[in-house]
Order: sequence, then structure tokens, then C-alpha cells
Amino acid sequence: MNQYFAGVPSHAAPEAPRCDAGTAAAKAAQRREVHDPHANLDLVMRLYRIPEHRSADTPALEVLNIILGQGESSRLNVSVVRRDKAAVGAGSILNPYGSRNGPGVLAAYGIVNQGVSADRLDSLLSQQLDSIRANGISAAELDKAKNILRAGFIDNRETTFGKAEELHHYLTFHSTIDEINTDLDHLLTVTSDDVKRVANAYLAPANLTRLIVRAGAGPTSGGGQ
Amino acid sequence: MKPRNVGRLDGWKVGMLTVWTLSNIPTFQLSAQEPFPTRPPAPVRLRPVQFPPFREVALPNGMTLLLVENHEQPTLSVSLSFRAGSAYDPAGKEGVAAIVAELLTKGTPTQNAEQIAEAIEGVGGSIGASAGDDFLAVSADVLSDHAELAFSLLGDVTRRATFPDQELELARTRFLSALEVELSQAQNVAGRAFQQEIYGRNPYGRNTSAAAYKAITRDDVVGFAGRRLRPTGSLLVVAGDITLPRARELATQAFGSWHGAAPPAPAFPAPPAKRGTDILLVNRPGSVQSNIVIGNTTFLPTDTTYYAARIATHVLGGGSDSRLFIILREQKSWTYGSYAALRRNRGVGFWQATFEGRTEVTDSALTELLHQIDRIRTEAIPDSELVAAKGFLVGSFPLTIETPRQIAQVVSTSRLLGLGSDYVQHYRERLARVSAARARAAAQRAIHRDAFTIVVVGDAKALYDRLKAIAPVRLVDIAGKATDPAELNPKGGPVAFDRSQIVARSDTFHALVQGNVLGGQAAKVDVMGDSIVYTEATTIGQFQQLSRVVLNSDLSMRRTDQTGTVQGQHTEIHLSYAEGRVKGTSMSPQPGGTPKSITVDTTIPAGTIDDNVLALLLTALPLEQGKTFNLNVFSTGEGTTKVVSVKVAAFENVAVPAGTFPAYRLELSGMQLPLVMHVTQQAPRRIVRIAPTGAPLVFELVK
Repeated sequence: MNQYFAGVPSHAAPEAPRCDAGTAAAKAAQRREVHDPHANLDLVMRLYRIPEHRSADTPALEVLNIILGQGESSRLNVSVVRRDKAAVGAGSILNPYGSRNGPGVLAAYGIVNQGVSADRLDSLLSQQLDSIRANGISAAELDKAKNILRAGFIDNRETTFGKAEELHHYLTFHSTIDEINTDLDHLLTVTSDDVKRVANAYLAPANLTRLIVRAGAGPTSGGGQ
Repeated sequence: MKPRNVGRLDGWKVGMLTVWTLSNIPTFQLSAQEPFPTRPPAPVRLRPVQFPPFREVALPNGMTLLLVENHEQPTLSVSLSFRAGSAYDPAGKEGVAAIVAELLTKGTPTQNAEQIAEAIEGVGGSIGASAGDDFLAVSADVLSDHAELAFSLLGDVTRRATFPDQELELARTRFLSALEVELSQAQNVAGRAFQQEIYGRNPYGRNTSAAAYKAITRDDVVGFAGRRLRPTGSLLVVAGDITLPRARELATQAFGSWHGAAPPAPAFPAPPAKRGTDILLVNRPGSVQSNIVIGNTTFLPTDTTYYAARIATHVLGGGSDSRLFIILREQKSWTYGSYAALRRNRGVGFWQATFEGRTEVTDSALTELLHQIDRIRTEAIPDSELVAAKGFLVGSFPLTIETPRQIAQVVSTSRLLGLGSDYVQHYRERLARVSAARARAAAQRAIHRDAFTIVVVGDAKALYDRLKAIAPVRLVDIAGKATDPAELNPKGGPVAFDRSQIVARSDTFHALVQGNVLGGQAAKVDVMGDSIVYTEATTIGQFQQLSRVVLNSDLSMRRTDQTGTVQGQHTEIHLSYAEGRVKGTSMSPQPGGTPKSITVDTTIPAGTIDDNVLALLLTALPLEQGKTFNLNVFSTGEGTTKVVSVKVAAFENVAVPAGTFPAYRLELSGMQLPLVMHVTQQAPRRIVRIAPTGAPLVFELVK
């Protein structure tokens, strides 16, 4: 370390970039459409602002994300892909760009199946999100999410590289690196009420940016809107 | 912890992450300090690595149980492999193995797909299956408290999968969508063509297709599973927090009562013997990049040439410190990456080198690739490169056996490929012993310089002549159909139009820019006495244009007048056609801001049509699926005649605001931008949709 890095002069930390896109900026739902001539199928993405990673709401958002859109048994896969057959794939992603010290994003998405309109898929995605906001989640779903999180903690720490990545994550995005040993406990204390509360706080219509990516080629995809 | 996103948008995520990464690389300035070392530190001496212990047990029903016991973490991975890969797909039903794998976890007599997913994900685990060329593997990962669940689910799905009809249809839709995405990427088109070329009738050379996916029935799926998923000869690999007695007990519970002889092992046709190097050029018109794959089939996985050939291949193109990357990317700036690889199958493997780069450097890159391949076959590798390649391959091996799952993967690959019981223990030392002379000899054996298959996917019009100077070229279209090189530079000629399609009418289109209506077009046809008048008025933002074309009743040209404004520039065209000449003036907009004026007085070939009336006359072509028309079109802005090719690609149902129409899909090339137009099948024909390729603009018929 000294041989290669000791000579790098120290300096004051640069000023943190400002980001005004926090949850407080949410005033009304936004809709954006873009055209991608290289895309084969349309994509619908519902993007919601969420707080920074060290927020006390993050553990409940992680549980919500798993129940909503991670895995075969997730709500979006079971309902939108399998039962409604409206998407060739659907799910959710928490911070697709990685964890954030500033505002983050929860994305619920679906790739439109042939013969289905993007608006129809968007409405089906919305129904699933609204259902969690109105009715919360089941005890079995909460257990599942916690088991998946527990397994993920073990998986992430198996290799040398995985351990290094975890140390970097806690050093960069948590209040103290010591949370590497306590974070799982926080996640395991999340309740169904916590999940319903964060769903109502962050999946609110005014906090939504709806993005539709239109496939450029193929005149039949998506149909007339 | 880092959030676990296990969604299906992997490509999308990777793309976004790449953009993020590229835009966030900091640029350091080290001026006020010691210069940064110019050489990386010398590698430390390799330490001996003992391959972790594992045990192998033959079960009474013919299965082999392989255990990697490791209690460091409370996790367990169980995987069961069969010789049931895509090589065993029935001809014309390519994709059966993959569909069997997809459907194994989608229902048994006691659990449907959702119940299986809930059972395994409910305990934080996962289950899935996949089919490669040789093998089909079904595997489950769980926390070790749930070992019994993992074994019982694996037993249930492997022995009692019901392959429900509705799940088959869901899988078919998903596979067809995935295939469409695959075929839209030139790299995949090149890879598929290469496999087909080098393996010929050998099953490794077959590719999936929409027709094959559509032909697969439930009987095919059930039959394949019944024939190929048999206990005898299968390999059950258990890795993680479990003891041998417990693993054996759970394996016996799940599979003990399952009996059946090994699946048949049909003899596959040998790959074709190739006598000379040639180039298969796959035409992708308008492509700005080319993909090159060069290579040949090699040898069986047990061939001991592998180790030295692996070292030579790594020096040539194994990574970012290899010759192809350094020369073609770092020195020439021709590509993001160029690589070489040696692949093993259960049967004969293959060697390949790949390149992706701009059309205009394709022939130079191919020449350089061949030169570097010659060097690796004829020159001894210098010590510095040999030490670095061995250091990488030998030194990185321990990183591939860090977790029980990784260990199990390495051991099972060696077993499935029949590499011998001591393979994993001696892998590093066999690589470390390779000398420069042996590496060169292995390269000569593995790389058939005089009998290469070279596949190039790109714009054949720009590439054909240049590649012909390197090796004989066979030209095919994107579907693999042989094409006459003369078609790359088509000659236009008169076409017998169907006069009955031209009737008096008015059509209104809206213009969508990025999905938003930003203007429109009104097109009108008047039929009067000895003439037909076609008027087109277009407005899109600051673009306004009115054109009026008069045709004779036999659809030959008489006169064109056009006025318009394009971003503040005035445009005006007045031309008359008579006796094989076109005369008049043309003022057209230019990027610089000053319109270009030209005087036109030139001969034109018989049957030449004015570009302002192309949309009307397309409807009067004698359309027939699969046909291509080459029309002489006078470009009124440029004052020259061009050949526009109109390919009748397919019938499609097109939904536009005016309704849904069964339509011919016409693909036009030879103009500034390729276009896709849809023309109704029903007479008198109408245009319903116009979409330039690569521009976010679409015209759709409103009424």
C-alpha cells in the first residue's frame, strides 16, 4: 500500500454533489416516452424516488423489493408474467446503479408481451403496487424475504472478492463499517407494517416517473396507443 | 448489505452500469509527486495449492454421488447432471432440451410451478435447470437447514415433472422472444453461422430457430425427458455443509427407488473435413460494424495437447494483456476487444478468434488477425509472455475453487467431460510445465491455418470486394440463404406497374416523433383524363413541404413541382420529364444553412420514377412475398438517378389509428436512410405506415 499509494498527496474531501431529486421533490406523476430503434419489444418502467441507503427505511424497502419483484414467486412474476401473460419478464430493482449516499430509485418494470399494449402492462404493474399499499403483505411473504436476505448475506461473503466488496459497501454507504455485523439483524426486525408504511410513503402516485421505451422496429409490437 | 437484484434485466443492468462506470472514471494527476511506477510489481512465486478433498460414491441405481464437504458456511448446493444437452435434440426440433430444462420445475403431480417456486424461495433458496450442448443440469441451492427440501424437490421435479401444456406455451413464447433478441445482435449471428460451418451435420452445428420452437410438441418434451433423464450415468454433486452419511441418506430417499438404464449414446456424424480457408460473408445491409469469427474444430477433451494449446491461445487472445487486444485495440484502435479461445465439448471441441469493429477497418483487421495467428503457430513465444500467461492461468485457478459450489463445478465438469480422476489435482502443474516449443507445436495442431472457417457478419456491399482479396468469399443473407454478389449493386430497370391499384383518394397520416404526434401528411390522388396528379403536403415542426407530381396515364413521369421550408431554408423544385430526359431546376436544403441550387438537364433510364411519387407507385408494384424490385429513382434534390431496392419481406398485421390492416412489409434500401413501408394487401392498395430505419420518426395512416 505504501509503495504505491503513500505518495498520493492528501487533500480535503471534495464537496459532495448536490441532488435535488429527493422524495421531497415529488409533486405529481411524470410520464416519459423514448423510442429505441434497436429494441425488439416495448418496456414499461415505473420509477419511484427513495431515500439514501443509510435511511432507516432502507431495510423495509429491501424486503418490499424482494416480495414485489425478485424471483419466480415474486408478485410481479406470478401475476403479470404468469397469470396475465402481459409481459415476457417483470420484476423490480432497488437502485439499479448501486447503493446511493443521495436519493435512490426503486424501479418496477415489465417487458411487454406481443399483442399487449404498454398502457395495459403499466396498469397491471400499478395494480400490484397498489395492492401492497392497500393490503400490505402476508406473513409467509415476510418470512420468505427474510430467508432470501439471510441467504444473500452468506452468499455475498463466501469469496475473498465478495468480502472485500461487502467491506467497501459498509464503509461507503453506512454510518459505520461495524454495521457489517449488525445489518442483518436490522433487516430481520422488519415487520409487515413497516413494509406497508414504506410502500405507502414511496409508491405514492405523486412520486412516480413512468418511462415507456418504444421498440423502433417491428410495427406490430405494442400496438396503437 | 448490497441489495440482491436477481431480475431478468441483466443486459439492461450491465449496459447502464457500463455507462455509469465509463462516465465516472476519475482522471488522476500525479504531477506533484514521485512518478507512478511504470511496471507492475513482479508476481510472487506461486504457492502450492491443494485441491480441496472430495469423495465419490457409486449409488446402487447407477447414479454417481460426488461430495465436497465444507462446513465453513451453512449453505448447500445440489446439482444433478444428465447427458441430455441440445446435441440430443431431434432434428427439426432444436430447443427441446432447453424447453425440458425450463419445464422441469414447472409442475409435478403434487405441486404446480408457483408452489415449487414458493417452497424453495420461501426458505431463501433457488431451484432451476439448464441445458448446454452436452448436458442438462438441474440444481438447487439452500441454507443447509433445508437440505431435505432441496433433495426432495430435486427428486420430485426430475422424476415426476408433468410438463403442463400451458407451461409449454409460456416457455415457447419466452424462447421465441429471446431468439428474436439473439438474432438482432450481429455477434450472435456470427457465432451461430460459425458453429454451423465448422460442425456441419454434427449436432453441435445445429441452431435453434423460430420454426423449430414452433414445431415442438408436448410429446417431444415428454419423450425427450423419458429417454434422456435416467439415473444410470447421471452425476449428483453435493457441495457444502453436509456429511457423507446424510448426503447418501437424502440421495437414497429422493432417488433410491428410481431405476433405469443409461440413455442411448448415438454416434454423431463427424464434423466436415475442410480443405481450404474461405470466408462466409453474412450480409447485414447498412451495418456500421462487422463481427469476425475465425476458427476450426480441434480435438476431444481428453487430448493432452489441451494444456499447451491453452497457453498459446491465452498469449494470442486470452485477455487484455494478450496480443490481439494490445495490437488491434490499444495500438490500432480498431475494436473494443479481440480475443481467442479454446473450447471443450464432450465430443470434438473448437478453437476461435473473434473481432468486432468498424466496417472500414474490417479487411485490415482480418489481415492482422491472420498475421498474429501465423506468428503464434510459427514463432516461439518469448519468455516474458510465456511466464505471464502461465502466471495468469495457474495463479487464477485457486480463485475458481473458493466456495463449495465452485469446487463442485470444477469437479463435475472434469467428470462429465471424462477428463480422468486426477485432472483437477494436476491441472496447474500441467499448465506450468508447458514450454515455448510445446506451445508452438500445440498451436500448429489446434489452429488449422490452411483450413479456416472465417465468418464475417457486416455490410456486404462495403466488404465483399475487399474480403475477396484475402480468401474466397461465399455470400449469404442474414437467414443463411446463398446470395448472388451481383445483387449487392443492383441494376435498376422498368417495372410493369399494376395500373388498377391507382385510384382517386385522399389519405391522412400523423407523424410520430419519439412516440409523440408532431405533425402529419396529407396525400391525394386525382385521376383526370390523360393524367394522374399526386399531391403530398407534409408538416413536421419546422419542416414544411408541398409536392405535386403529374404522371401520364401509363404511370410514366410528366412533371414535378415542390416548394417547402426546412429549418428556415427555402426549397423549390421544378422538373419536367420527356423523351428520356429530365430538365429543370432544383434548390434543396443543406446542413450548412445555404440551400444548394442546381440546373437539371440529363438523360434518365427508361422507367425512371421521381422520388416524390415513390410512395404512390409502391402500391402499384406487382407485390409478391419474397420478391425484390430494383427501381431507377430520380433523386430530385441531388439531380442523379439511384437504384432503390424494394424487398417484399413478409405479411404483417399493422395496427394504426385508421385500423388494423393485413399488409405487405416492404423494406427499401438505396436511399439516404433505409425505410420500412407497409402497404395493404387489399386492393386498391394504400400505404398504412412509413418508418425510416434508425430515425425516431413514423408516419401512420389516420384516415
